[in-house]
Amino acid sequence: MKNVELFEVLGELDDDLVESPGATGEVSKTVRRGFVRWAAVAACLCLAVAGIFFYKSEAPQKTLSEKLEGYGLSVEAVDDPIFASSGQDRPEMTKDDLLEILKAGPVVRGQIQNSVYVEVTSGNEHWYIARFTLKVSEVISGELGATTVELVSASVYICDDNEIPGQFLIEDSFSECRDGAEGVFVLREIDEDTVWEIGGVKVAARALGDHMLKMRLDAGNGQYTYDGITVTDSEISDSAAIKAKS
Amino acid sequence: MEDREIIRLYWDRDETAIKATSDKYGHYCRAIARNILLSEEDAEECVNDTYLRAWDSIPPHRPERLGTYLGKITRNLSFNRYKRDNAEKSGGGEMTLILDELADCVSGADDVEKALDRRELSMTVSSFVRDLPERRRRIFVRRYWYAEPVSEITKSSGMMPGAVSKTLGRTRKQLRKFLAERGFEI
Repeated sequence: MKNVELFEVLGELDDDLVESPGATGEVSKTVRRGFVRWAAVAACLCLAVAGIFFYKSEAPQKTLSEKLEGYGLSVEAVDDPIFASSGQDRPEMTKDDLLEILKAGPVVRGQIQNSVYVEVTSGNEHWYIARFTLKVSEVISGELGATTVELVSASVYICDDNEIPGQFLIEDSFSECRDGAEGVFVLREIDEDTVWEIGGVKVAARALGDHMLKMRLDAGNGQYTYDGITVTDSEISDSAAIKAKS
Repeated sequence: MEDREIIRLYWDRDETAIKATSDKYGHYCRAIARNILLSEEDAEECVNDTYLRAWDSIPPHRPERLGTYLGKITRNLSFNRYKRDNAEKSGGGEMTLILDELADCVSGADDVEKALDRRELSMTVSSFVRDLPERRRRIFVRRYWYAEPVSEITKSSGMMPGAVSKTLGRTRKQLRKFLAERGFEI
């Protein structure tokens, strides 16, 4: 068989499969998740979805667990998170990919405080959600209305064989976001209609925060580095000109 | 307008059925045609042809899902046009990439396909897609049914650049294995 015939065979998929949410013209209005990547998890093929959200300084007093339990979800605290490390399974990022993320901005420098991690399990979905305070010391580009913000990160692992990853794994571009960690963070505003489907429950992202973190990276001397890829100010100056100040 | 009302217009041979279809599903069909064809003009023609095919086929058909019914017509028309336009060219655009990706799943041989029961193969592929975890299914369908660019899937799903391609690569490999285990050495 040739690829052309296979494309035609795929055109005969059952109607209900084709009609699923997320098809052309629907997904952008309904579900938008944060930063996503594949993560290496032994004996388990997982899809990792990650996003980091932050509250403004007037964030509600409810804890992360209380907020999620308010949606009827079963939540368990994770005392000792293990961050995913670079591995064979990491997706290829190109310089263009990094430029695109940086252009989206805003970019801030800050320090992580008050980190909290929880796990939500539903069927073969294993959600690992982190919240921490980001104390912003400098807005490098874009606009940010608060100097102290609350960030939330969520990673979901969907296991083909129902094996539980067994450890808290979080997108390694946010790696070591523990108390006291400093770095440069690229944020992105969350749309009003952004929804996380956690264990089949739709959680309004804006109820949790109004931005997500695209990545944490190293910066200095007019250069930004992530995963061995370096871009300069001039390379990204055609849109949201980011001015490295260190 | 509800689908059943639109279908009723077709059955009543009321030409306002076309406008109602265009109003409700024009954008949807256009998006599919655009994904497959490089030309906006060609895409528009395929969408218009979709309405004519619907007019000619309803009745006797009474589709349960009008959107998907129209989408399948658009996909077929657009892909036929793509094949015709690219028969003597080296290709280009998104469809070339998609077909290159699907080459992972097939032998590329001419004679094998003739021996296959096309209907059974189609059902087996549907079965494979149905059993995929939901997010992977969505990504797979968006890429290989709707022919959406990976960049668009990445953008609207919020996934990291590279993750969508990796997901699709794994799924293609699984599909080939799934079919081989069921006797479809395609």
